[in-house]
Amino acid sequence: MAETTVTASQSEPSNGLVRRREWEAREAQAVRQAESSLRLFWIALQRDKLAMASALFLTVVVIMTIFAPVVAPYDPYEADPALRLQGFGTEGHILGLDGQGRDILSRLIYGARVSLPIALAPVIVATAISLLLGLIAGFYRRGIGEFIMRVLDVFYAFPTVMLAIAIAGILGPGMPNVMLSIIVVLIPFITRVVYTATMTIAEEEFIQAARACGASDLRIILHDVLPNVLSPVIVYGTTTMGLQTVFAAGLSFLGLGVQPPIADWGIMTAEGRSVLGIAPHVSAVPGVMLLLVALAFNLLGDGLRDALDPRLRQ
Amino acid sequence: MSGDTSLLEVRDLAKSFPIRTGGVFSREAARLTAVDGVSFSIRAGETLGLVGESGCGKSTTGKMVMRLIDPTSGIIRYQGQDIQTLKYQELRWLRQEVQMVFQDPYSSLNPRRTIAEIIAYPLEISGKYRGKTLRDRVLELLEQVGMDPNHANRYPHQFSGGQRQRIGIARALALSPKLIVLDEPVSALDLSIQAQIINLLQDLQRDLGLAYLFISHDLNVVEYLSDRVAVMYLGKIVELANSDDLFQQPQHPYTRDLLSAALSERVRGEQALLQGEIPSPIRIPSGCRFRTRCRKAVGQCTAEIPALGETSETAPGHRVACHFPEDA
Repeated sequence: MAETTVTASQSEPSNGLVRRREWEAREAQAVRQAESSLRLFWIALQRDKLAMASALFLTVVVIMTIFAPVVAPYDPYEADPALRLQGFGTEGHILGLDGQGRDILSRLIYGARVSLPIALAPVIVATAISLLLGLIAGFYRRGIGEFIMRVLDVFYAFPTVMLAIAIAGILGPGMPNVMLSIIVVLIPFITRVVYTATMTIAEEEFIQAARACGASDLRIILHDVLPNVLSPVIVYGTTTMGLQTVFAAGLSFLGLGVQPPIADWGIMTAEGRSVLGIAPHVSAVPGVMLLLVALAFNLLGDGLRDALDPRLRQ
Repeated sequence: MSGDTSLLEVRDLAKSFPIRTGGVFSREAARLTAVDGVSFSIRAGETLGLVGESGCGKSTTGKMVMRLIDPTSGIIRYQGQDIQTLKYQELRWLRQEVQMVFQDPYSSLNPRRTIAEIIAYPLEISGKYRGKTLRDRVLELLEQVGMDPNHANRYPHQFSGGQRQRIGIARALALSPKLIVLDEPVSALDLSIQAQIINLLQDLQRDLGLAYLFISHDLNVVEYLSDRVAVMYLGKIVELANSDDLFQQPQHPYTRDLLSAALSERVRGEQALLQGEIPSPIRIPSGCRFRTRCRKAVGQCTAEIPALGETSETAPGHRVACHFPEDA
């Protein structure tokens, strides 16, 4: 845009009907464009092929998970000892069978019912809590902010896995407890991301401008800081979603999470460990699935970030 | 100075920042004196230029006038009201009366909001506009600062620095203030764009009867826009006069040096007289704070702090803080 186009419209105010009509037309256009702000986001996201592929993949996984009894070819607990450890392409069992002769594909589909919620729910809950803590801490750095961050530093100081094991160990095994321990472990990390981003944004001049406009702290935090902090949090959150699938699997592996014989990708990977030499597919199939889901979350997160940022969605 | 007619009155304003040692048990290691006993007033419709090198406290002064920073001591009165004592409702009134244009046109606009949203922000907060009246006011403001209202739904990154500064001006104008603090509004812009923005500011002042506190380090720009000029050095005003008096007959050695430096920019080849660095605001020299760089400094300058006052030779209202003011 050239600067010169600007001075032309510096005319003296003329009144009359012509001007009124002009205004109304302009306004109608403005309203149309405002409504399409969500559409702009959608268009930008659609242009990101990797993100769309990831979204599609995750949708398919979720649908299969929901309709597991319909989609799965076998009962995930039904064993056929005769076909133990048979590999890919065994008749009727595309992905083969595990050490007890159970159909791996069926177990994979049922396993998602455990693995996906464990990956999603704690990250969503932890992100919500972290946003609250991080925004407050980053905005009021002295006093309350200092207090929040120092308390979280205590959690930060423990090795992640140790802390989760300790929490899950105290609470006892089971899915809700695994989720709770993951939430506790995640909060210091996500809060730090929010905190750092908030601190950076709080230094920007537009925050002072907002204050000069008479905005209250709450309004500034919600209207000015939050939208700018969301990007790194989305990326971090989606990245860690993949990681938590693996992490929850690790807790199950240690006997602190979901207990066998329940199908779970972590338990499946663990069970295949003893036969890794002779039948690697038993571990590999759930392992690859974990990887794919983690990757899809990650790529979708990247796409979301770019589509949310008006500067990047050209 | 006539207290009755002045819109803004600043008396003995001071601000110092503690410099703390790090860690949990931080203690104050030193104090940085940013502003030290500044007094001035601005009448309705008038432009007061506030000039000085970077770090002399001129921006801090502007932010205190906006109540973005609390002063350590001193009083700021807007229409007779001490702004420091204003409570919630009255503060909202002040926000409508006094507005600010920021230095950095990139950092001062929220990148996640369309320019219509940015300009509408103060209007929404005021609660006086919504729906159609809000929309109309935003479009009117865009037109007023010379922007195409059809671009209302674009984002700040889609505009040039000059256009962004126009948006910042539109935001400041939104609530029809009487006084606008302009904190180096053109120093981040190209020279050709600077002129356009300066002209816009002048037009707006003429049409809307605005008063400006114009903060800048650029004497040429200040001379062009200001009715009166205050020269700041290390947190103190060293000279305050009508624009013409100050530029024709500078009395303070610092002003004189600054002017000749600005002049030598215009007339190439002439040696700038101002030498050395501005001293640290943590260790301010005793007596006259300019003495370390002054050509005329003698013993008295080390011992006594010169007061800002009128001299016999100066025009009325021309005040200077120097033991040995330059001859007219």
